[in-house]
Amino acid sequence: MTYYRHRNFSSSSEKGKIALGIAIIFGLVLLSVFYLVQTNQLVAKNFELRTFHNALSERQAQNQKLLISLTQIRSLNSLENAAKNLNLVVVEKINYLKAVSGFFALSQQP
Amino acid sequence: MSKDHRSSRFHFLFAIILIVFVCVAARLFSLQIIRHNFYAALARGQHEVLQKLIPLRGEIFIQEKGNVWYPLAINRDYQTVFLAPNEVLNKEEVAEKLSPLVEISTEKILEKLQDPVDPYEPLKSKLDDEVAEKIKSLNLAGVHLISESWRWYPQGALASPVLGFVGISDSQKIGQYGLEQYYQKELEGKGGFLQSDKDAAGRWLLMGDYNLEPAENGAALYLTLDQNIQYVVEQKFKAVLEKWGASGGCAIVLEPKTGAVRAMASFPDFDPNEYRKVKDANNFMNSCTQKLYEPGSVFKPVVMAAGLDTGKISPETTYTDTGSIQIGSYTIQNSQEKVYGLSTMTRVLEKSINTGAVFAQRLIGGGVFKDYIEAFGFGEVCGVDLVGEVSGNLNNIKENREINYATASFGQGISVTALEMASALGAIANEGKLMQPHIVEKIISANGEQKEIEPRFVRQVISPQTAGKLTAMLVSTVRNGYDKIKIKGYFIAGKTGTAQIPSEDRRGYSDETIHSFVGYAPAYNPQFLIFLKMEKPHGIQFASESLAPVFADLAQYLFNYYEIPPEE
Repeated sequence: MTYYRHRNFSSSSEKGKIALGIAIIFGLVLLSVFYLVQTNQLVAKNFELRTFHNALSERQAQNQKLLISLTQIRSLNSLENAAKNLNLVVVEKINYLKAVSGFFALSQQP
Repeated sequence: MSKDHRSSRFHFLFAIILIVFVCVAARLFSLQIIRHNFYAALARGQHEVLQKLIPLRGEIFIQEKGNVWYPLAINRDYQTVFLAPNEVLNKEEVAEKLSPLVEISTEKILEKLQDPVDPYEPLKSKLDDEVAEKIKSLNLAGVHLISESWRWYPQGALASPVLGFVGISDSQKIGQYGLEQYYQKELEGKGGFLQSDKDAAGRWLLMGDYNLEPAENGAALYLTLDQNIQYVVEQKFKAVLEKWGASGGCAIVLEPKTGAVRAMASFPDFDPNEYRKVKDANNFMNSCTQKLYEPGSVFKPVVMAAGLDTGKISPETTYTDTGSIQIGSYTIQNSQEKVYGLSTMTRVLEKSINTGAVFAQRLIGGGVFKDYIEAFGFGEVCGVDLVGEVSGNLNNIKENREINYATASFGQGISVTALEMASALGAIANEGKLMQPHIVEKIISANGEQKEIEPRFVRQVISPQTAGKLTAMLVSTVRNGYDKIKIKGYFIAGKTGTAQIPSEDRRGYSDETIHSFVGYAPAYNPQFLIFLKMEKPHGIQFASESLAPVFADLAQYLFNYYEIPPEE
């Protein structure tokens, strides 16, 4: 009885050790896979980030070019040159309306 | 083989091994101990990136009525082409192909390519986009393009003496002259750095550790200058300077109640984008704040202010002009040796009578007159936010000589800046309150923090009653003295000055003159003050003839621009 029990105990201990070993190996494999996946994702994100960074730089450069063009067009010298072709007439006389206190305009309801 | 012989061979082998070991140990000692820092840095350089992050310089904006802002100085990326002589395969080909694009002779390019180990030779910066594209398409070995941020002034020469420019000093881009230099600290921002691992191509690796201190961009300046007023003043005034062949001049439009400068022009001016092409550094000077001149008759309102404020004279006080006054051995005469007879103080201003100004000054007394001159801010800097402002020179009246007080009463023997003169007249316009002129209205830092520049009251120079009386006298001066400034329906106060320029090679004055004009309107509720100064005009004698028309033009423009209705 005692011998049987002893044999039983020894067998389950070995099984436990084997199971633990398998679990450790499995865990290590899992961790390795996890590490590889994470590293891979990080590298992929790194590339993605670089791509976005390049795209951002390109758009910023385009944006700056557009702003520069806009600023050039809106500069007073450009406006003066543009206005020359419009045949604008100089305002020579301005009449100011006197605001009378106590009166105000009402818009008509449709 | 004998035992001794074998032993000697063994010893020889041992000695060789020992020598080799010692050599290796010595080499390792040299590499790892003596030159540790060098190789450690070299290794770090291969896998680490240490990048200096350069902040963007703060931009400068000019305003337009209605709180609309336009850029006056901004940053723009330009391509810079540089050579790496150690990479160049065919020097002649590089020189010949680049020469027409960068407008540098082939000889000069070849000179830069002489050193075969030289890794960097700058060739040309601020390239046009088109030229940069052409260079890129050549695909020449050892020819590289890099993007560099430079200051760009989209309005060209507009307000250039106020702005200054960003130049190179000790290989650093730094503000020079004007606002760019005065606000260098605020505009330049704060540099940062990035330290991280890099891949074989030298790119930043996200996987590695990194140390980042971001750069802090410079603050933006928002000016009190109005671009429309600035532009009109520059255009009209420049035309007058050219018409009379003047050597230079300056113009200021000031808001008397706040001291805000709405326009400031100085000629000759320059294009800050092309500042390297300017041959005379004097062109960078702002004639409004950095040049002294004897003001002449435009100074007479100051003596009248002192006389009225002390109660020694009134606008109706009379005296009899005989055409000259004798002070010791000196004789002071009126312009063109005219004699006006019985005259009021108002008439003294209307006709710009020198003897009348001396009469008023003598009633006041030298010491009190000097105190008033100083109270108006002459002899000290106005404190405007521009670099290099100088103060007037009042040494003559500090000598306590009667003749010096007398000549100072009509603006001779003392020197002032245009801004001092405009600021002093601004005090008369502003009920006797002297305000500090300023160019920047607000500063907005990169993090959005806003700092408003409040108008700064300096001191009460004369009473509001005195200022009112003097304004009435100056309105009368314009109405009865200068036909060309009559604008229907508006009261304008003003005074001209035609000052002789002291001779450089002898005692006394030369035949050359400086014309100036200062006026404000509407006289009893002033919205603007205009000061004009023209140096060495030819073919015209008096400021009332040369500057009055342009003053009238500018005043009319400002009435319309500010929508100021007529008062009568």
